[in-house]
Amino acid sequence: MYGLVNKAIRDMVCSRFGEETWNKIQHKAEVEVDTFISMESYPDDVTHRLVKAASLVLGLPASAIMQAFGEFWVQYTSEEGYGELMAMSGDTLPEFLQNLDDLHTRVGISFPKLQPPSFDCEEIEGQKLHLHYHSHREGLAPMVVGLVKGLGTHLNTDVEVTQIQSKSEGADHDEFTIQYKPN
Amino acid sequence: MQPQFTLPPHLLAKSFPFHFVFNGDRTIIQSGEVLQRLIPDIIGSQFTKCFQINRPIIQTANFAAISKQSHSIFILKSLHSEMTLKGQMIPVDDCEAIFFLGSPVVTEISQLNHIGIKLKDFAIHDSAADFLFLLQAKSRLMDELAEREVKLKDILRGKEEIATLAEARARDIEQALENLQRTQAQLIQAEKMSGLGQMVAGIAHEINNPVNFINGNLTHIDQYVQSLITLLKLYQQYFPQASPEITDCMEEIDLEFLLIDLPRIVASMQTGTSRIRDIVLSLRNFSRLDEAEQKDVDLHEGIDSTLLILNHKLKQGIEVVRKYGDLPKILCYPSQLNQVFMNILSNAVDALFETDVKSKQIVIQTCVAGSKQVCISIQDNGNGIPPEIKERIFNPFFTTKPSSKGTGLGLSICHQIIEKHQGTIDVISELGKGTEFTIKIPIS
Repeated sequence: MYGLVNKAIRDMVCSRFGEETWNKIQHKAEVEVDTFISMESYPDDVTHRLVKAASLVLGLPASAIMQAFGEFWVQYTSEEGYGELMAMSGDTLPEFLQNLDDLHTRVGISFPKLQPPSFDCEEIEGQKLHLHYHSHREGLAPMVVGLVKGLGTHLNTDVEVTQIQSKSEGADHDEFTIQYKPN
Repeated sequence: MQPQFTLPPHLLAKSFPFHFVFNGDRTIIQSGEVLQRLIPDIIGSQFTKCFQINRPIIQTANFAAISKQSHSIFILKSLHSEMTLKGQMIPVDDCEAIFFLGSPVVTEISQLNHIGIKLKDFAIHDSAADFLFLLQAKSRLMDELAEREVKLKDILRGKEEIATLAEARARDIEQALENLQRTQAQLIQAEKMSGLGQMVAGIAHEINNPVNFINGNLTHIDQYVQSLITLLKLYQQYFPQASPEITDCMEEIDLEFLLIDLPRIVASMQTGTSRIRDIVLSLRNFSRLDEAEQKDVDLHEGIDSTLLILNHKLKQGIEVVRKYGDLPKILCYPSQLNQVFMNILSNAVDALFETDVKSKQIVIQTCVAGSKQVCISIQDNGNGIPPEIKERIFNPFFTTKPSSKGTGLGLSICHQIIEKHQGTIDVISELGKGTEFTIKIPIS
């Protein structure tokens, strides 16, 4: 994972729980990196350890932390210099979700070691979408739920996300139903 | 294999949103969608009314001259907006037209607004958007690195401060330890001096009584001897013819010599006892046990008492030259100052024992320096102190003497005692010439 992800985890914890809590998490995770560099690649294990330690320190399930992080990620990246890229990806939720792969492709130019997920979004009927999520990583589905909610906030759209198929339960990939309503 | 396919015009216009085509008289006859939006009258306009060629440098930018530059990068400045286009001119011989394929030069996303375009206006295949994101990512990275540098500098500053603090603490601790050692040394020495003082005072007291009655009786003995001699002489006067036994006895005891020598013996004994009394007085004066408090004293008395105690050593070929000035009485701790004189004089004596100089001498000079202090200088003509150890002589436990002879506390305690009196003690020494200690003590 690129440092940007770990930096975002740090910022989320610090903004909500304070720096002292972050220091505890970092200590528990045995991560000795003092400052993550956005464009530097770190082992996935660092991110996993941080999430696990955050779960222990904050007394929350890892899935709840991942979902909260997904929501935070949208806001964080839009403020951390990727707002234009996001604006380019679409003004509506379906358009944005359909362009997610393009967005990741463009990000891959700046982040050559990026191993992005892949999203396939199909419109089922009025204001209902199916989002197919493919990733070589495990356990990030809750983050996708948060991401979609975060995008809803970002695009001023009410969303309801339900996971209807899970890779962790043996399915080929994760799948979500999204009910949305622009405000 | 030659290409057989080409894009239909509407797809070309979509795929190259910033392209335009002009004919032989440089009239623009076609353009991309976005360019048409930015320059609404572009179709039918003269190329030179819309754009200025910044690169390459072409003197007369006619159709033929532009055609010749098909391998050059063209930089076109829009005459209608802030936009600059970069691309290439592709002459098409069949239809006497030149295609310009290119896109805006943008180095910051914020420039898009000035030009009036959005990222979406770029064709998907155009890497301009990626280039912009890359530049932006680089710029963010530079900001991050700058932030990190500031942080690191802060941390370094913090560490430097901690190091400085730690150094200061270490110095404090070292100083405290030194003070502790010094105090301990002083306590030991004070205890020793106190014990020694008590012993000296005790001995002086014990010796004083018998000496006093010997001395008192000697006065009577002197009178009795004188009386007996007077009586004997009267007998000799009135009974010159003594019996043979008396005459024999007079010869046997050498009465004539006895009568001369006996008063001398008594006088000599009186000298001895008075000397003992002086020594006892000096010992009491030196120890000054009865004077723990500050007191106005004559420093010369202290120096003299000390010299008297050291007399047995001084007698071994050391001349003491006293050059006493007129000193006022000084408020001080007399026994402590005596200790200072004793230490310095003892060292001077030891130094003189080690030298081969013929006339070994200690010169003691006193004077009033200015109006506020008295000055006592004790100078010997011994071997002097080597410069490399001169700085350390006042350090506690520093000694050049064997451990059986020196503790290394003498001069360090002198230093402290003089400091306690708000005075100064300095040393001047020259190898082969001798050493001079100068003590200055405030008068009040």
